[in-house]
Amino acid sequence: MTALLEPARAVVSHADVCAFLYREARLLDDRDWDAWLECYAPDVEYWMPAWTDDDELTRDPQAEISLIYYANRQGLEDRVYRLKTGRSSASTPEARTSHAINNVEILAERDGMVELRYNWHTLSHRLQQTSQFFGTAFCTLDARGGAIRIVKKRIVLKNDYIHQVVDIYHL
Amino acid sequence: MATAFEKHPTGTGWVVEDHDSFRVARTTFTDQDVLERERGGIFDRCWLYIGHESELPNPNDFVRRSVGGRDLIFNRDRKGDYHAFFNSCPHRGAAVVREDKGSSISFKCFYHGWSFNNNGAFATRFAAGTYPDDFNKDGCANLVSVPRLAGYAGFWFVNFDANAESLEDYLAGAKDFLQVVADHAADGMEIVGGIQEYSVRANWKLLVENSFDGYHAHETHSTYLEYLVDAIGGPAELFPSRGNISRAYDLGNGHAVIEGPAPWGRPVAQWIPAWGEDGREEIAAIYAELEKRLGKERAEQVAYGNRNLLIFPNLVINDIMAITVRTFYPEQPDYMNVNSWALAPKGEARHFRKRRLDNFLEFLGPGGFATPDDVEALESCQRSYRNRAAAGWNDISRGMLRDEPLADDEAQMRAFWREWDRRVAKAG
Ligand code: FES
Ligand SMILES: [Fe+2]
Repeated sequence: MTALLEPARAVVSHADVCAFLYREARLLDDRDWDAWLECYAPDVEYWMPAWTDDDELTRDPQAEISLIYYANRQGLEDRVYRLKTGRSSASTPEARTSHAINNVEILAERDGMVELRYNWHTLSHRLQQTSQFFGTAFCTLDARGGAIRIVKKRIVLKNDYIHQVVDIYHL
Repeated sequence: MATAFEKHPTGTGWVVEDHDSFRVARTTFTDQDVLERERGGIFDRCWLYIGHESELPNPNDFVRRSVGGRDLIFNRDRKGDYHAFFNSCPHRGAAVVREDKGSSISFKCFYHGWSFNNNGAFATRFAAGTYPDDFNKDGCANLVSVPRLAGYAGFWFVNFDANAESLEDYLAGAKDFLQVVADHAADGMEIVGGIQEYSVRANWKLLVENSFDGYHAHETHSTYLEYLVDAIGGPAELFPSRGNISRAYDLGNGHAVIEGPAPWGRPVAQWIPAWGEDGREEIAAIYAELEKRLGKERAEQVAYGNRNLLIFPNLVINDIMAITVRTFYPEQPDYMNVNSWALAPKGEARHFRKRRLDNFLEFLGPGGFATPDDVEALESCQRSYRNRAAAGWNDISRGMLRDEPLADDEAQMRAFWREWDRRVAKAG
């Protein structure tokens, strides 16, 4: 896990990765759902595991409970569709969110596929109440050319005692 | 509070009923006094769900549970017998078990180190002269057992009232519906993965009502139904033996259920086109096993019946597109903690399990498509009860004039409220 990049030969720099992550987060803050979906590859695996009673994360989304699990982007598209209808009363009125990302580390890079982790913290304000969500995300980015896209994302939600709802715009 | 309604002679005055009207005072959702009377009259006297047998598969297994405002240990001893203890050291009170789950032949308090066998017996030896020789002759150093513990069809319950009626008498007509859930699989059922915990800023009784409210789905869950039923496609076969009608059944003692055809696929055992031809054959095989084991009528009920069951006061088992088990307790009149679990056939094949989990996550829990919208509705109701001085009553009369109430009537809620009224009046 210590594949140090030689800056000159790296396909994508730490700064490029950060710029991409900041933009993805900003698109959620701006509720620009369609542009946000474009940050994800069509076959992205999007997974937020649950915590077990042993205080471990579930490891197999096909056999154990998750908080959110999609084997491809269709699930994210369904969520966006639903948000846009304005008829999910839990998301209408919409929350105002502010995403912050830090501790971005590149873990490995091979042929333009970049594995990374970062800490995230989202504040969300709705109906006069502010809630927060925080944790660590593990992503694989496809940076082989053209626009960078997320091909795999595992989100660890550390404060999983949830009030009412956790949705894509909190993460 | 302005009351325009007749007081029920033996009740609290907060539940007012006539042959064609049924009202509940909104103060029942807001007042601290009411909550205190609920604690004394309901949570201290009713059978409360503590866990499923599958959570303690082996001797020495334990889980820690919060039930009715108490911190409890639910465990099996070395011989495999079941116990429920208050998680409070007899020495000075520290929590004896601090993990949520585990396996241990004994428990040791972290404060001064008193130890207990997992049958509750005090098990520390002291140097001679430290305590009298007959220390613990009255059992004062043993873990304190919850007065009553009993199981039915794999579901275990406690009661803090030593004189309570038996669990089976208490469950009344709900026994058969617990059995229906247990009947899903020849090898039994199991809790899958961990507990889902979340909080709701609303009175606990609003979640009781919502849990078997057949009336709200088309409004509140319109985006879900659109997505699932319209986009994915509903089942071809419904529930012919019940004439494809969803009905409410009063099961006695405040328990009730709504049951009817499912608009979605059920991993046991109702196929939808989205599961493909392979899926069709697999579901047919599951159905065939059910029919062989249970007979046609019960097999149809298991496979095609969609059920939302309430065991009074606060155990909800929703046997819908997946099975959830949930309990919830008031912390304040306007705040509750919810615990929810997924239940599935033991040792289910991997791709069946995946189908079930997809269904579960789509609909249920804080990341699902339905639960957050339900919570929004409950919290909206709760907030508006600040208007209760002028707008003081809820209407729960839908379908009262019908002989056979439908699932989108409110007879199941009336069953709950009558029992609530009876018990809270006694605690007055
Ligand atoms: S409080 Fe448990 S040993 Fe003292
Ligand atoms: Fe609902």
